[in-house]
Amino acid sequence: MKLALSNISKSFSKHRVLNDLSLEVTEGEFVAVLGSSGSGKTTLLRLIAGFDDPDSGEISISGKLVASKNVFVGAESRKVGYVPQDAALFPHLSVFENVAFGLKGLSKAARVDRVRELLKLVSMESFESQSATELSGGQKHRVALARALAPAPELILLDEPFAALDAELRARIREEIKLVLDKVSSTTILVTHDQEEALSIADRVALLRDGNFAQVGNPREIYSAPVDLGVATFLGDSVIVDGVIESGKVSTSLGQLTLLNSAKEASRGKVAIRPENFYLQPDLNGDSIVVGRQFFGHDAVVEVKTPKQLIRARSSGPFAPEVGMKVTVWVRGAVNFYPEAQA
Amino acid sequence: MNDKQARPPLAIWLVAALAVLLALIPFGYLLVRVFGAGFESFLEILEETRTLELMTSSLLLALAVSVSAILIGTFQAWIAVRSNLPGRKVFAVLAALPLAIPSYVAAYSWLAVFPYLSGFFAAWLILTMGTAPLVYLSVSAALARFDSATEEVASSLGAGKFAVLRKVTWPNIKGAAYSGGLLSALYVLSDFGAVSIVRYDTFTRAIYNAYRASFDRNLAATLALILVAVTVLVLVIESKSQRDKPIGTVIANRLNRIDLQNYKTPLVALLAGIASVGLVVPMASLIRWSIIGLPETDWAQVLDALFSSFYLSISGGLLTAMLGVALAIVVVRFRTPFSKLLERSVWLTHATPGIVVALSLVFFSNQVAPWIYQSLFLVLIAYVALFLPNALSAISTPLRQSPISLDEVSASLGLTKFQTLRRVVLPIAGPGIFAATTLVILTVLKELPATLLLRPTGVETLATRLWTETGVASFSTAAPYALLLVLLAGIPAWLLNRAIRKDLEPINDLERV
Repeated sequence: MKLALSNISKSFSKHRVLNDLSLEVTEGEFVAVLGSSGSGKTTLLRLIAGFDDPDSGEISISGKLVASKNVFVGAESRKVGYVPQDAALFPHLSVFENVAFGLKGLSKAARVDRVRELLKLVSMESFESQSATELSGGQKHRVALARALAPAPELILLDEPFAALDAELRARIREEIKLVLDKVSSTTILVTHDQEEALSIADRVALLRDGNFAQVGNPREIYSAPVDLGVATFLGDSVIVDGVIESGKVSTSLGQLTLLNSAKEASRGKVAIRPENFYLQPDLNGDSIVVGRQFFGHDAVVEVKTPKQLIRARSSGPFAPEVGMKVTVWVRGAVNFYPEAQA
Repeated sequence: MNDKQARPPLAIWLVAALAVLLALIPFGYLLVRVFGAGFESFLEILEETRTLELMTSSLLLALAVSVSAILIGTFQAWIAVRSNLPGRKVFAVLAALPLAIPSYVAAYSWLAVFPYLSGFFAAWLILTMGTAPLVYLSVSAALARFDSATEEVASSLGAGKFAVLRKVTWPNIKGAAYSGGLLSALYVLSDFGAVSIVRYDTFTRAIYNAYRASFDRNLAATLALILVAVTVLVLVIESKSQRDKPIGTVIANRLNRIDLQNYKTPLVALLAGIASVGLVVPMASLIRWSIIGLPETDWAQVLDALFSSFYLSISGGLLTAMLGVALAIVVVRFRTPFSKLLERSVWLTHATPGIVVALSLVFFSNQVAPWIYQSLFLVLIAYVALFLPNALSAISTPLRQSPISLDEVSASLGLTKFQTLRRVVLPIAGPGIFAATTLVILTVLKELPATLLLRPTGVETLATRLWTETGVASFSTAAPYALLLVLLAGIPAWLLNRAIRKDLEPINDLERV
């Protein structure tokens, strides 16, 4: 086990930020901690890095206890690489000096080799003598990653490292960094509020809500089988529809839907349907009508008024139905059913 | 931040604590001294009519100066920032420039023109001119923060020009104006040189005379303590007024300039008049007497004073700045209850005027440590006590520039806190710390009362020479010292201060003379 968190709690002046939280991360794994702002994800990261200590619980890294009731190993002795949100390159140092910053006990030649190796890894070898302040946003992040990797840390922490970049660059840098981290088989924890980022990059996603993990699993699992309605809506747009279980299917205003999970016969509850799971069939006799359309190029979000409610459906851009068209709404694939609490 | 991370390295911590202890010696010993003599004798002195007279004359002067400084400084600031007056940029520089003339130099230069100038009016005139820049800086910063769109809205609602000034502009800047006025009052209360030269009896002058003349030094000590109490009171009011200051948007505002139409000529004349009283008269007088005195100038003596001044100011400035760096690290980078306590204590020394620091150290060395009397060591303690607050504020600014995330990255790369300070924090703050150190050295160079009372036997600096020669009315002999003080200390300090603070934080420019 590379990282083990057990029963971690942390409060800031009475406000409980993390509440009895546990997680294990294996060697070489890439885990994304996903949470909205204020969910405690940054606090968790700071506890792992050793910038703060937990009120209770234990943290061990590579089997070595680094934080508990009686133990506190400071950040400087944890061997945990850290890439902060703003990259935080040392402004008074060159790119080379930034990467070399954490290297200790190496001969001069070995040091130069190591720095060059890392700069090559992040494709920044031609920038080594530049000042850190002259780099662009994406370049700064690559250097920050090289700097964090240089002392061969036990694990790498990424604190929303792409938040400050614009959308296109963000996707590219994310890919590049993922490749680099895979290449060195680093164990990585990424903290983010961006669902798409977490789902696309991580081996496992840990969804942080109210100071604890609401769900931990691989991205596909998390996305297609959220444990509850809250998780479902957090992970992406969902249309919530009332339903009741009848002979193994969910009966809703949108028709009889196939169940993904199991549920008791005759129980009432709600169903969450992703916008992309709708199929809008143009139908002159359809009982639903398109009332709005937002065009995004590759796809479009279409607002449809069904007899019972307004739904938002994702539709392939060029083929999206026009406003005013009558359609029949179909639901593709199976859905998750969340029974109402027994009244 | 948790306490494990927040603790500064032990060595830094110890130096910072030592700095504060040194700085607290004068104030601390004063308390011991006054109450050691018994509370009854304290009350006795307090009840004397003389004390009441001094209190009245000091406060009266402080009040008069701050009112006139507020009027002049606000007026200058408004013209410089908000009007379309031709030459307003020149007037903006002229408005701040009197800060480059130490008050005792200004007093000397006036006296050299009008030898019989003395008393309340003289002190009021000189100190008003010397402290109006404090109000000017404070108000012009507030005006620059102010979004004039609100004025336009007011006039679109039917308010006339003067109604806009009174109801919209003034309420937004009055906090800054009052705060600048309180700084003037503080300056007046701690000023020793100017009031002594024009022979107006305030606390500082009375303390000095009591110390010189009487065998009963309890009088001097008690007066000193009362003075500290009064300055603390003013400081408390001042820091409250700072807190009320509205936080304006700094970036997205626009300032329209107000057309002065046919008021331009009289206003230019008025501003020129103020500048002549504040700058032209003193500078002309300095230059005139320097020329008159040139043939008979004792160059060996001038060089000797120059050397002593540099020697004292560089050693005092460097020591204060070094202690200031340690203290600033503890105060800025490691927020703990203890670091807050250190910060508050420094604030207390800030309220102790130069003459009080000097006097208290004389007592201290007489009673506790006679071997340091009239040694370099004692002067250095005085400088630390006087200028540690200045050093702290000047050094804090560059230290804050290095974000805490750099410290965290550095720790995650395996560096201890001490190594992080050495390799990250200090190099980044380096240029700022260098500038701050230079500023402290220049400020020490201008210092008068502590140097006067505590300097080692036979040592004469530019400031003490000026003092002595002015005391016997030999203006031509005094002239080169005055001119050198302005050229070597006043103007460079003024320029450096401008560069460091970009006129945003005039509060800490308060020099003590």
